[in-house]
Amino acid sequence: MTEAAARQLLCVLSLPLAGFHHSMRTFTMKIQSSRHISRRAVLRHAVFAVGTVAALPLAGIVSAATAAATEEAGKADQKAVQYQDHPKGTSACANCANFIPGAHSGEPGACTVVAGEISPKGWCLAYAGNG
Amino acid sequence: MLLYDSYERVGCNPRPGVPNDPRIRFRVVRRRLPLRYIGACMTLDGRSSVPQRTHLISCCLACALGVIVSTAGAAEGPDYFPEPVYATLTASNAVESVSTDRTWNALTGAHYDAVSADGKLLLVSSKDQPEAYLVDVKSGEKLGTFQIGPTPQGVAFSPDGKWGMAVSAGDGTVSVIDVKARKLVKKVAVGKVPHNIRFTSDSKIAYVTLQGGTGVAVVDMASLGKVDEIDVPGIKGPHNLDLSDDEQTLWVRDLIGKVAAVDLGSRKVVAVIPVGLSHGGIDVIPGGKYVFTGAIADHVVDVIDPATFKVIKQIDVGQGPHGVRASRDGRWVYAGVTATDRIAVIDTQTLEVVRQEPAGGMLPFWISVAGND
Repeated sequence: MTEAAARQLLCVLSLPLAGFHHSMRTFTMKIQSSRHISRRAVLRHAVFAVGTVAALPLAGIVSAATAAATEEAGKADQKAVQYQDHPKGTSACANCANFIPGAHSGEPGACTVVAGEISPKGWCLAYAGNG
Repeated sequence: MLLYDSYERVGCNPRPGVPNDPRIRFRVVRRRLPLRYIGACMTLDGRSSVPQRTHLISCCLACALGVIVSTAGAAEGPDYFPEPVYATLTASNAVESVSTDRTWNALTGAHYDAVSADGKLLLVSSKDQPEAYLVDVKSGEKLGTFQIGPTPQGVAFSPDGKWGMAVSAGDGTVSVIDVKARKLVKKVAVGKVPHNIRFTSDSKIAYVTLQGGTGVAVVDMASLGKVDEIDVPGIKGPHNLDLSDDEQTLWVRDLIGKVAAVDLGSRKVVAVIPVGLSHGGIDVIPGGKYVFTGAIADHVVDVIDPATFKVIKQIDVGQGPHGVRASRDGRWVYAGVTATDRIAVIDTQTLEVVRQEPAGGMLPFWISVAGND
């Protein structure tokens, strides 16, 4: 994720929290300064607070959408399958049934189940020895 | 109900600016706190509007009682491991008896394992050496090392206890091991990149998946030779396999994320079912109610209803489930979760994960269960 995207995501996340904090603070100040709290005031602040909290999942959706956009459709994230760019023992992507070789020998290729560029010397959990 | 104490003025009104007017008296009135004010009760009236001490004590007692009850329940919980469950710990070069936490080391790259029908022996393939090992389950002693060829994969015992079998994907063979004599007696050429084995219950036939091809080899155990090959179109890279209880349907899991059901009578694929991403084990649970399959590049175990050939549930077990095997009675299913180093235990009545048992090492890849192997 780029720095700009991270900043944008942080901003989206912080908005509902700030709204909720502001609403509760105002409400607390009001009930401290006055013995009488109108039903309308309580409802107004409650609605605002609940609305801001309810908006929180939207921030999650934005985050998930951003992450999904970086992945190839239907493939696993490299981190999830513990991809590494060096072999694990005698196992390397070049000998995996799922590896799609690059244009030239030794060049990075792709994978049928893992997203992104794959080194022929790499390894991941989904390694399937091809004989 | 939450109570709070409110102070009400009694007597005459105070004069403005005179805080200690002796004529002002207070009385304590106990009120019920309306639900809408809960959360702000500490600031109501600016005075002592705290919940009663008796309520706090009651809450503490209730919590303590809950802890005691849950602890007692856990102590008398169901037996998740009614028979031994063995998991290979590939990155720890070991096999663990999950139910007893005993671990047998010095099994280089322990990859696939199988337990004999009598529960006394394990056959273990190595990921990094062209070998398979025969192991005494009581002592962990290595009774034999067999040179089976490059890229070892699945292993199996015949139900009659006579044969062990181990795959070499690199050689395209299965090695047949005389268990009693502890000798490798023959290497049978089966096809391109074989992967795993399933014996019929009468021990007469062994089915071998051909990951580099498009089908399953049939090995006759009387002649110790390949006699047939069943084509399995619609999937890519036949990987692991199991048989239905009546042995009329062959269930084949592929490399990418599909399961094929093959009717052995007609030799037709009757269903191709999309499941989790990449390869995994497959098990028709004893009793035949469900077919479970792992998905190593995913985080779910798929549950297939063999009556409808539909996935009825994807159970989140954590990242990287591969080996799956049910208990002998079909009550529990164990999944080796490779990225979290845990064995997930699934209740087949509720289809929920009921336990995440920490493995005794890294990368729990394959599971074998005495009585269902």
